Amino acid sequence: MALFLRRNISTCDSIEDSIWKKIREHEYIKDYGIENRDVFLMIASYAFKKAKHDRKQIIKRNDNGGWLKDLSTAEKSKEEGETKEETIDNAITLMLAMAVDDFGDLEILDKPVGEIQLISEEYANAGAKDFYELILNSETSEIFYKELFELINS
Amino acid sequence: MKLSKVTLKNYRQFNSLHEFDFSKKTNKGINIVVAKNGFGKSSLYRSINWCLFNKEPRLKKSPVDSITQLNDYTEFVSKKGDKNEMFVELELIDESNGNKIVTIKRTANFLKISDETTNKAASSITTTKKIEVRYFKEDTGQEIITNEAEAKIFIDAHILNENISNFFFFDGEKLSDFIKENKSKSIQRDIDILTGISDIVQTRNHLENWKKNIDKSLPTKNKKGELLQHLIEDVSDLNTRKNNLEKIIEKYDLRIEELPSLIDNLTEAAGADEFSKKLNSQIDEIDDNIDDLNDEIKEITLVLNKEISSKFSKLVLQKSLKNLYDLIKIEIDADRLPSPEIQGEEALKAILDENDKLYIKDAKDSENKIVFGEINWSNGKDRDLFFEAINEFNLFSQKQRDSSYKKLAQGGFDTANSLISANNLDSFNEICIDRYTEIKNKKKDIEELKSERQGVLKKLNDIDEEKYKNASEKREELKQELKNLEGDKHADEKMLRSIGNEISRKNKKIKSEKKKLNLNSDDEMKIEFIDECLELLNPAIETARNENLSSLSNNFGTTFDNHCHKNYNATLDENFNISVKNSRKKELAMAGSKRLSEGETYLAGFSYMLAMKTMTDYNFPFIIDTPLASCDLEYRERIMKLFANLTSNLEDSHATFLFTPSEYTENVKSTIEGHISNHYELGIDKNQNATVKKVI
Repeated sequence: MALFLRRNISTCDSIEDSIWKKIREHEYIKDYGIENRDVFLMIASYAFKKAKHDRKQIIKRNDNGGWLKDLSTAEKSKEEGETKEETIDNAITLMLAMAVDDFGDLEILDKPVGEIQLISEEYANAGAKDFYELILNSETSEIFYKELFELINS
Repeated sequence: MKLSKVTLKNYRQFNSLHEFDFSKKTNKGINIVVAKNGFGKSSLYRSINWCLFNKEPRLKKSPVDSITQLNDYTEFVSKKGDKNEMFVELELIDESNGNKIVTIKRTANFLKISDETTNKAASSITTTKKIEVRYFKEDTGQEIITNEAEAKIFIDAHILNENISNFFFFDGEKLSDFIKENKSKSIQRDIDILTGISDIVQTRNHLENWKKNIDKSLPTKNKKGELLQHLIEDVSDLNTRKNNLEKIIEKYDLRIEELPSLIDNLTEAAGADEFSKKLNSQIDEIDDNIDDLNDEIKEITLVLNKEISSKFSKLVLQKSLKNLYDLIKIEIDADRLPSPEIQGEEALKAILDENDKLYIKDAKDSENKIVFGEINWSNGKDRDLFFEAINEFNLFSQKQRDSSYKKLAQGGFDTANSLISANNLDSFNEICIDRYTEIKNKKKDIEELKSERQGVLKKLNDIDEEKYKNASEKREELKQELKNLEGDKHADEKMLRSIGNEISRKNKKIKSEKKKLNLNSDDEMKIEFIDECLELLNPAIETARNENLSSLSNNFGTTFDNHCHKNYNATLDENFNISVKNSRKKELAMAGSKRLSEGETYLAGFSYMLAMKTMTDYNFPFIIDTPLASCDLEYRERIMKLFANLTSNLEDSHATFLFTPSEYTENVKSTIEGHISNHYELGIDKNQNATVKKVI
């Protein structure tokens, strides 16, 4: 079953020094071959885990960064037989889980898809800075990932 | 022995008695006699030679014709029948015998036989010649020698050996010539005399002459037997080869004897070297292991980190996923999700006919319908409305199913279920912890290896690597050399035996040939004996010469280099040539354009004489006639300074210079005047045409 979102995943360009770009291009991320949508989900879930409901409003939306492009073009890509349905479903399901948990009711699913999507985007916006600081404060990638591992278990 | 006084009577220019005190005053080792040419300076110089050795230097006639030595005036004023005495007496101090006085007096007596002629040789004759040596002997007291031969032995042994007198008496002018000619043969001869080699050389010469004389008698006989001659030559060649081989084997033996201890010495070093290599290899191995472990850690870390990053959001959101799943499941369980859909409209239509009766089809007969009921619609409902309601419901359900809510709920439910079951947190933790433990253990292993490496490194540092470096290879090289030498020696010994057999075979043949030719075996034995002696003497002569040459060269070079104002280096080379090199190591000629200056040549001469004198055991003084005659001004002071220092610094060293007035310049005077013990000037009595002495 294929699901697709209303629009590209958005990030906020108001965050100083294009922090998203820095994260994406940092060796701990780039060298490990982590795709953009996974980075987005990591940051969003990182923020969700650290402080539930502590979202940050997106001030300057940037839809053109190619973020999760395959999500918005899922149907098309699927028709062309290029995109794995399962992957798309996993990413969206995680966003649904975050939205439902944040909202506290399944009723959120009845709202426009853009609103569900916005919840994850605002979590990601809230967590980006801390996430980057975590990268910078970790002397090695090993320490960084170990920190994430401990966060999973906390 | 030191010369303290010379007394002359009627000797050449010296009419009647003249005394010259040449004793050394404290720290003043120089006597000078200044005289113009022909005023008796050289006569004084000759008189000492005559007294000691019955010879007068620089005179072509030898032996000396005594009558010519008698003072002309003495002879002239004497009458027929008068007797004239002429003598030279030397007084010496024997410092090795309690400073006892030794005198040597050589006398010649003459008789005037005619007043008629002015020719001295015709008017007087020599009647007696005698020598008298007086010395003190501890056990017997005063001793007197009057025999010429005994006197010579005494003088040679205790005062000055005639053969080396040239190093004590010499003429300045001749000195320069000697150096310029660079008489290597003279130098070789001097060394031979000085060191007693000349006696051995003389013995060798006698032996060679003896051999020649014997040989002379052999050829005529040898001509008779060409075969014998060939055999002897062969044996001689074989003996030469044998000797060479023996020398080679001797060298082999020395080396073979030496090598085992060298190898032993290297064994310990080689052990250390091997140990060092082993330790280095251990370090390399440890480094490899550490690298491997680091690579493994890197690999595990990479996989682990990828695992964490890919599962991070799925695991962090496990609870949320579960929550989503549960909420949707409640909806599903309550049949609210997905919304119901009435299926089988056609089937209903099949059992509900248009008369609202319900039929059941007979399974055996499909055409046969069994009526089992009838529907009674109420409230104005009928069959069409019933089916219309179903359609409406189904259309609603379809709409619901297509809505975002239903899609998200349905899709989310399925995916959440798969994510929850696929990402079991416990098993993920287990894997991660295992991996982290694995990494930790590997790091521990690395630490242990590093510690081990430190230990090995310490051992390695304790080894003096330079000392033992390549010792193993060196030892192997020496072992190989030993093996090769033993092989070579074995081969040469085999060859030697074969040559020995050949010699023996040929000697037998020679013997039989000799018998045939009846040769004098005594002569052969003599020649053999002489050859053996020569074989012993020749190397001994060479060795002694070289040793003394080295010592002489050293003395000579030191004196010259210290007093030459240029940075020159003087030596006596292996061919007994005087060699002086400039600062660029370029050889300077003794004569010619690129040569030593006159003064430098002079200095070389004095340095040579001093070096030779130093090597003798005699304390006889230098007596130098015209010491600076052909020396340039630049070096006069230097040479005089050399003697001034020499005579004042060395207790037993003193010198007498016989100067011409032109040599004894103000500069020379000022250089030596503080070192002069006795100063004489010789003038001439015009009436007598004889020397007059003046003490200054």
